[in-house]
Amino acid sequence: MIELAVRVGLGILAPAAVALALALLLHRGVKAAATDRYILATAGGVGFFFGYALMLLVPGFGQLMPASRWQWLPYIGLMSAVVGSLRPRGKLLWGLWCVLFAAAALLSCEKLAPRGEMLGLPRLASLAILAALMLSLTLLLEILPARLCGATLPAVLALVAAALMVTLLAAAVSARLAQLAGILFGVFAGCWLAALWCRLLPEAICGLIPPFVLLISGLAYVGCVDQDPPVLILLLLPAAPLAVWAAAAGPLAKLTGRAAIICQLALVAIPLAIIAAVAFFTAPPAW
Amino acid sequence: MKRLLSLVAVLAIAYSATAEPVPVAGGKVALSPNNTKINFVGTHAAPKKPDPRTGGFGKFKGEAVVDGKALKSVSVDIETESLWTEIGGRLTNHLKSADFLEVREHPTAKFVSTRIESAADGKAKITGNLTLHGQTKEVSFPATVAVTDKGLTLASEFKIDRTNWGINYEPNQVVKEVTLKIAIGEKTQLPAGQ
Repeated sequence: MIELAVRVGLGILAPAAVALALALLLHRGVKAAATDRYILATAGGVGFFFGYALMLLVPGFGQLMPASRWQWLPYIGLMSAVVGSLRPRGKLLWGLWCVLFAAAALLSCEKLAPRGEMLGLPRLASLAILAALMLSLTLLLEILPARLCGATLPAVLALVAAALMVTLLAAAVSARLAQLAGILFGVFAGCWLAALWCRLLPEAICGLIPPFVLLISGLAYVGCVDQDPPVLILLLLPAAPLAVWAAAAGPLAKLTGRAAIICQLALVAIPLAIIAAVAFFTAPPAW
Repeated sequence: MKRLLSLVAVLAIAYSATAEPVPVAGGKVALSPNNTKINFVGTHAAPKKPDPRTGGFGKFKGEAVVDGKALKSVSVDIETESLWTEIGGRLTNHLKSADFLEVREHPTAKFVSTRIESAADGKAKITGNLTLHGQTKEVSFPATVAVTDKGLTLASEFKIDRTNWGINYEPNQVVKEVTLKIAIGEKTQLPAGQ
């Protein structure tokens, strides 16, 4: 019981507090504008790094000097904070930003991918495909209508992180990787509180998308290829927030207030629940 | 005491009866799952059924070098992906995962002896480098070795502290010490379905 409390405290609540504190520090202390992307980009990416560092207090969790692929994730978090903070304006800068993000995604995949052939493809090809998918996901989330990029978006991202944690446990992939998803859940929840508290505008909230894509996709990928056969369904999980596009037009677009928030969360929760169920029922038997 | 000695004697006879000496050719003995067993036993700190949890490796190859009646060296390369457990399923996957051996990251484990001190009664102390989880550490362990006209047999059971090789997962739940059981002269037997 004490151990569970430590894990929830250090692994979820502390990262949430760190992310919230970082966002408040930047918003109130540095006087960042409510449109500045670096508030949540920093809270997300740097918050994950500190969340990971705090978990090192638990014996046997990991180490700061990467010795295993997944131990690069906190550094990918730092990189995502830098990329997420940049605000592309104009077509040329958008293009450059895309190239920069693609390079960051490729570097992340290179660090996280095991040696040799992966998912039936040569390593380089699979890295390139994965980086392209990450870039596509980022762009599809970045161009969400402003109405769907409000304070609910960090809550949606936190929901995905929670689902990743549950799925990694349900599919019996790795308790350690599930704990990393728990840190991400805490961080995104902290960002959600910060978005509400600081009344951040959609432009600022989009700063959280690069940390989300790089970290959640990276972690899902590590979990997928860690198993033999790979748990391919995990690769679908980071794309779940795209379900909010269903509320961009049609009858769901007319919803407002709480109904709109519940609708967005439900749209994402449904595919997440299906993914977790499939992962659970297709996992090897316990004994 | 007599009963105990009798039991030891019976067990020793039982072992020698199951161990089939591996033929020596040109002073060398080729080791494979057909003539060797590399098994392990892990336990939980607090009772958690089923406990202990046993397993081993299904693919490896190695070589032992003998000089007359003395074992001179032994080395073995293990494919960590071939890890199996008696209860199989999720336990096998978990031991291969990022929580333990990380077999995608570290597909091989290796042991190379550097020194073998033999005594007259067949007992020996084997020292060598064990590479596991990407890290190499020196280990020493006792073994019972017999080199006869029929070939080589070796039996050893010893413990290693897995955290010395960076396998740090949940030391408060899963005991750090893992028992390794090595038997040259006994065929690896995988549980059904593995």
